[in-house]
Amino acid sequence: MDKLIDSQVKLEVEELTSSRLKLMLEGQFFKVKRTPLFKSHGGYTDDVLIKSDGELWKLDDPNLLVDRFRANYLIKEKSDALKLQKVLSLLFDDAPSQDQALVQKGNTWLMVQREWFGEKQGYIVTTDDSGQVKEINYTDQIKL
Amino acid sequence: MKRLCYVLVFMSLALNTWAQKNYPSFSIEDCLSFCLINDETIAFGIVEEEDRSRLVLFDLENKAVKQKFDAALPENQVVFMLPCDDGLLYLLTMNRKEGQRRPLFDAIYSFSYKEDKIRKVYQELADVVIPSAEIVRTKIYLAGNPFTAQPRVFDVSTKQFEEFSENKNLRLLFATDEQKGCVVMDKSTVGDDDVAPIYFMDEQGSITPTVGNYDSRMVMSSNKAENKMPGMSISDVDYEWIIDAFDRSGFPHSSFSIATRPGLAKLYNQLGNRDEVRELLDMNASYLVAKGKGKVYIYNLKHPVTQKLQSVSDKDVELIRDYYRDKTTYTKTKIQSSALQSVYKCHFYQVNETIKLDEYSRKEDHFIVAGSGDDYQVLKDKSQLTALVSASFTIEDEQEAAVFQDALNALYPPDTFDKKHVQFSKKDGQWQFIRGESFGDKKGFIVKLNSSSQISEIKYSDHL
Repeated sequence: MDKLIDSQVKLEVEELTSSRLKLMLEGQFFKVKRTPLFKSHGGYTDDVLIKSDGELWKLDDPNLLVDRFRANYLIKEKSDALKLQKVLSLLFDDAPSQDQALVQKGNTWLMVQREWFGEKQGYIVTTDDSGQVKEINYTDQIKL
Repeated sequence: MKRLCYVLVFMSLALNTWAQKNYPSFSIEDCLSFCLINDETIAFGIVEEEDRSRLVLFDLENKAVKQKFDAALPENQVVFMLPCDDGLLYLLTMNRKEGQRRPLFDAIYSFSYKEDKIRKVYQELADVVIPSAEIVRTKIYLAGNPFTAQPRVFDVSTKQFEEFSENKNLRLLFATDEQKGCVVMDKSTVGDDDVAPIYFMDEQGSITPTVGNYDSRMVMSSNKAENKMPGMSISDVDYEWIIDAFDRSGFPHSSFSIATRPGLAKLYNQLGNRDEVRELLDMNASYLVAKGKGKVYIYNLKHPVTQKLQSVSDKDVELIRDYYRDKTTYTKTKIQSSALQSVYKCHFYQVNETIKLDEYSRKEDHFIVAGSGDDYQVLKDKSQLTALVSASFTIEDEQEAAVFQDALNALYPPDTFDKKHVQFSKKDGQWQFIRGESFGDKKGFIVKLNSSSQISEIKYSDHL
C-alpha cells in the first residue's frame, strides 16, 4: 500500500532559465506543479523551489530573494527596477496587467502588479543608498 | 461578472479535454513578441537580452536562432508584427497616456531584414485605442468593434490610409491574407436576433452574395445546453474555409477570445502545458505559438510532441521528489465497520495526507484505499464501489438496505448539515441512498440490482 500511496503525487518540474532571472539572482529556480492523483478533479498546486549549495527551499515570500541577488545587481534607475518587477512577475506568476505601474519614492520602489476592487496590489522594494535591495514585501494595499 | 464569465469559459474549455496532448517542441526565454511568416518555417521574435531587446529570426524546423539583428527597436512597446508581401516586417507600437486606462496606438514602423534597419512609416497623433491588426498583401487593417466603426486601412505601399468601403454600413469581421480579402457584414442587416449575413470582399472590393451568418449573441448560463458563444456559420460550401481562417485571425487571443473560435479552442485544449499558457500569439497550418510564464512556446501542429520533454536532470527531479516526501506524511487507518464487512469483499483504509507548509501551518487532505491481500486501489470515483461488492450481499428488503446505508456512513460519514437528509428508498426497482442536499438538489447513490437482488451498479449523482 505504501507504494500505491507514494505514487499518488505527480510532480512536473521545469527549470526557470530566463536570462534576466539568472543575471539577477543566484541559484537554480524550479517551477513545480504538484498534482495529487487521488483527487478526481485534477486540482494542483504550483511552487517555486530554489536550489543553492545542494539544498532546496520553497520561495513563498519575496523577501527570501534579498539574500540571493548577485553583487552587480543594483537599482540605480527605473530600468533596473523594471527588470526586478519582471523577475517577480515570473517567479510569482503574476499575469500581465494593464494596471502594472512602477513608482519611485526615494529608496523605495512601488511595483503595482494589478488592481482589485480599487486596491493596488504588488511589491514594495526597499534599497539602500547604493541601490542594493534590502527588503521586498508583497502587499494588497499599495499607496502611491 | 466579467471574472465569472472568464471562470465559466475556462471551465467549459477545461471540460472539453482532448485525448492526445501536444507539448511545445521548443520554447524561447525572454521573448516579448513573436510572429510566424505565413506558412514558412521561419519566424520573427523580439527577445530581451541583458542590455537591450532585439529582433531575432528563428528557424522553427531546427529550433534555433537563424539571425540576430542590431536595428534599434522603437522606444514604445511593439504590439503587432506583420510580415508583408513587400518583403518588410511591419511593427505597430503602443503607448500609454496619463488618465487613459487603455493603451493607445502609437506608430507603424517597417523593418528590412536585408538592411537591418527600422524606419517609422506612420505616427498616430490622435488618441486612438490600440486596435487589432491584420495584414493582407500591403494593406494593414486596424479594427475595433465591428458594430461601432469601420476599420482603418493603411496601405504600406502609399503610406496612406484609405477608405475601407463606400458602403458605410459594411463592417470587417476579419481580414485574411491566405485568401487575400475580408469577411464582412452589413451592419444595417443585423436582425433583432443579433444575426447578420456575411460576405467575402476580395482585394478589388468585389463582394460575394451571402456566404453564411454571423451570430454575435453570447449566452452564459448555468444550464450548459444554453451556453453560446458568438460565431459564424457558413451556407456556401465554397466558403467553408472561412471557419478555419477565422480561427487563424485576430491574434493574440486569451481566455475569452479563444472560446469564440471553436477550432482554436480545440487546439488550446490539446496543449500539454495549457496551465502555463496565458495567450495564444499566432498560428499557421504547421505551428501554434503561445506565451506564458516568461516564455514563448512553439507547438508543431503537423507532428505533435505527445510527451513532455524533460528539461531537468534526473538528479534534480529526485532531489525535488525527496523535498516533497520530507514535507509530507501519510497515516493509514483501517475503517472498522461490520456493515462494510457485510457489503464489500475488501477492507477500506482512510489515508490522511499532511503537508508541512512552515513551522506553524499544515495542509491536510485524505483519500480512501480499498484492497485485500496485495491488491490495493485508491477510490477516486464512487462507481468503483460496484466491483468491490461481495457476491453474497443482496438488498431484498429495508433491513439489508439499512446495512448498505451503514456501510456508506462508515465510508463517507455525512457532515452535520447533511445528517438530517440521510435516508433511503426504493424507486422504480432501484434503491436511492440520499446523502445530503445542495441548493434543493438531493445528492447520493443509485443502486441497481439484478434479478437475484445482487448489486449490479452503484452510481453517484448530485441530482437525485
